[in-house]
Amino acid sequence: MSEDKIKNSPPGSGVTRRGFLKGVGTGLVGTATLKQGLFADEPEAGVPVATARGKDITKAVVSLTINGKPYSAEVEPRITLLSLIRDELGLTGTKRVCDRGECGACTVIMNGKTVYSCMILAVEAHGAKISTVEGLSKGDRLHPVQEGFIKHDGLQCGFCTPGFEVALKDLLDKNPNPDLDQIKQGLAGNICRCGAYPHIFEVALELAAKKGGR
Amino acid sequence: MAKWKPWDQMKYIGKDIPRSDGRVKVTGAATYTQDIRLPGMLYGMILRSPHAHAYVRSIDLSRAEAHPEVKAVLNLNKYTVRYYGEEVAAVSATTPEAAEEALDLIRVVYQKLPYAVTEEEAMAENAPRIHEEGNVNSSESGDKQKVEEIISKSAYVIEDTIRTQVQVHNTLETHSCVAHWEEKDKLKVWISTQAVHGTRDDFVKLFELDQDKVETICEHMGGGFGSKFPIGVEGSVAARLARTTGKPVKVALTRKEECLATGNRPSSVRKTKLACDSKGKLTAIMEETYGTGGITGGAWFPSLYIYHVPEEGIYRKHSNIRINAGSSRPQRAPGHPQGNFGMEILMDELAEKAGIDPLEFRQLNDPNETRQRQYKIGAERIDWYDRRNKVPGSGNGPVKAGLGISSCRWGGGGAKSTIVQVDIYPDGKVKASTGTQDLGTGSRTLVHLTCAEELGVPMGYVTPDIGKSVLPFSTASGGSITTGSIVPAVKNASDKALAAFFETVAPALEVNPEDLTCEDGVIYAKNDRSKSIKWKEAAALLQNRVLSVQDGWSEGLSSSGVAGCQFAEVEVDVETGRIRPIKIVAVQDFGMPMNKLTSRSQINGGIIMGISWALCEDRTMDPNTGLMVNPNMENYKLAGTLETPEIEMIIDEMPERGPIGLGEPPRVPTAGALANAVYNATGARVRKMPMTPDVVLEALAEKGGAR
Repeated sequence: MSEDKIKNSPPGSGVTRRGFLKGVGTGLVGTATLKQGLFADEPEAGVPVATARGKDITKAVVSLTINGKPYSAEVEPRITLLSLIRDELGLTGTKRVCDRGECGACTVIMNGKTVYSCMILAVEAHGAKISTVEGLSKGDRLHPVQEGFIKHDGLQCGFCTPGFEVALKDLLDKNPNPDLDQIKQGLAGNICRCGAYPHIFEVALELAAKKGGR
Repeated sequence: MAKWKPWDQMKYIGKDIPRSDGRVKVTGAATYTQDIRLPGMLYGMILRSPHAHAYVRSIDLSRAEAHPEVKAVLNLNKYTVRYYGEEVAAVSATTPEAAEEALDLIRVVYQKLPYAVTEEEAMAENAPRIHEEGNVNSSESGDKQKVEEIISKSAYVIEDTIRTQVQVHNTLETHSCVAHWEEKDKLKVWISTQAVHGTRDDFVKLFELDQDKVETICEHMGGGFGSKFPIGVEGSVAARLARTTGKPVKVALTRKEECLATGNRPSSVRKTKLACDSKGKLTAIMEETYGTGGITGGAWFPSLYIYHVPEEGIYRKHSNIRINAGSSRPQRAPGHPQGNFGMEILMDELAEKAGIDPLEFRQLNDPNETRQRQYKIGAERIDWYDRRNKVPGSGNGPVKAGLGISSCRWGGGGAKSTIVQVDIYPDGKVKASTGTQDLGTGSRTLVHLTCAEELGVPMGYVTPDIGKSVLPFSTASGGSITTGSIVPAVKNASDKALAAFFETVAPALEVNPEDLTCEDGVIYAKNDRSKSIKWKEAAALLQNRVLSVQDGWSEGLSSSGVAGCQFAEVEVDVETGRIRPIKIVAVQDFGMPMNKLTSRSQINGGIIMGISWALCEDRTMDPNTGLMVNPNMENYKLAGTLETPEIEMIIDEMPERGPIGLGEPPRVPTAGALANAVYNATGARVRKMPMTPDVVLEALAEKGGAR
């Protein structure tokens, strides 16, 4: 099933990019997912749309480093890196919001690059080095990005905050002195429903003036 | 009657105070409902209707029940489903993935029924009847004939049809609940809610339990905006599945479910005639309005907004239209943005017809004195008289700039029922508790700083404790009443605790309790500063006793009724139809600003949600399938960093009025200001939202200016 095909699926058909991703992850059920997608609108026709997939799945061991600590977990190949971090390992600072790569709340740094952890399978992260919001502070000492978020009130409900902080840290690591347009571009992959953007810009601009807080 | 100390003597109130839970939120340590993990916890998921309207003919749960990881399956016993996404059944399983599989195993036979997913389809003569109470529910007020007469005698009249779309809340934390039966009749629930005590009462009622056997907790929550008052189906399902299985159950809705079934702001359509006399005074407004709040929600909105029309000149017929879509729920200033958007466009149109500057036209017709002052402030900041195009659309080049104006009002107020407890411990630590919730508004910080202010101690001495139903009663957070509810009660309880504390301390200093005061953590006699004792030493005099007092809300410490206006500057590319908001100037009154830092966040947030509604968001229903086609955050667009303009705000402080809630009013005027700025930039009138490039190009074509 090509990417185009997924995009062209009828709305509400049950084939989501992420559902597809997870289907591929199982290795066994690509066709079942497709079938479900095509027939979901007529379940009364008596077509069995799915079977219990879990029992057919062989678990895989994933070993990775998160915030400098080694972790190892036996996971179903279909779960995402986000599920591994949050649900299996209990690092709940990383938030699940859209679960399909649209909002940035689950942003983590993987091997030096920001990624949406909901769009990565846990097994793909085998051997990876991951940084999450929990890794920003060193003991009691907050990262300058975190201090800035408190000082400028770069948050309200706080649910997007971990993703924004990780994205901003990465932006400043790569460009310690961004201007406002570069900040807006760099953070455009993160959504805040409370509208904290102007205060987040203040955080970023202040850190930019201090060369990324370093 | 209790009174606030003078404004210039405030140490924390009215300053920039970083939020009390800032540290836990920026480190990821804050525990939201979705972050709760309990031993043996199961994951609940809900099966929803794939059809807009259908009979449920049969439902077979057996294959789901046979799934090895499934612990319970619940038939919600629906006979009819009336929208895509309506709840049909639920499962709980050991993992979210197994629960999702189990949903696929439930066999439901539906008999599809005719449906209507747009207002026009539902209103049509041959429309399918989608609800027992009918599709259209109308009410009428005013003397139509008389209003017609007034209009016919008025110097200037305009007539227009203006439309706003449905907006879903899209809170970042979806509706979520973790239910845990600690004993047979004892329920503990973590729930993402705007009503800690309200949801407690919902569970008490649902399971017929004693009030003290239900505990609800919401320490942190990822946004509500009006959608999170009741426990919802997700709450009742979680508790029922937990009861059946004897295990804790978490139900956290998916983004898709959130968009389909947890509320929305209704649409609005208004066909309006607005008239004024030769001097520009409004004389009459005649309207037919309607909107849809989905299958059961209402769609009323205040259509005559802000400006004064004599009573005899007002006629309106309004209809609530049912469609096969998820029901509306309150959303940040329910009704007001809809009322504002149309009214502000109509005012601009009539001003132009009467040959009056749109700002002056508003000044002529707005009876509110506060706003009269604010218009002048805002006009100066945006440079209204010099920078506004005298002839709309007269700028050079394809990217045209323009200015627009719009206004808001809101009620607010406070709930008498609010109770706060203040505890002074023998080690000098203080706890201020009330069962209120912090939606991200900063209410926890207000409890904290108000208590420290009143006691005269550093904020570090005080710990705020909120978000639990075991704490003293607080009302639901809606209508911007939280600040006006909790702040007076915190003040009263703190003052009462301090007076009781002075009773203990006074003998040690050989003074009368009423002669004492406390400042920066030092208690001293007002008339003799040499008689003093540090707070912590004084607390030791309590020995083993914790000094605990409760007190409630009282009249006179907060008020209601706020005014504001916003000016917008936009750039419109007439070749692409793209609107770029450049700057918003917001002048906003909310009485006594309790915390200017978090208040600025609220104003920014209101404006950005307004921009998002005006330019991006649109719940799109497909008449061919009856489905919402964009239940996600990709095709349901939300404003991001790139849509965020410069925001200049002027806090129009009136401390003598006491605090008034701020959550809703700044959300109201932005869209109207943008629409008027677009007109001023292009000379093309946009009459519907969202004002996406195609809508703008259509308006330009109508004007004859599209290229």
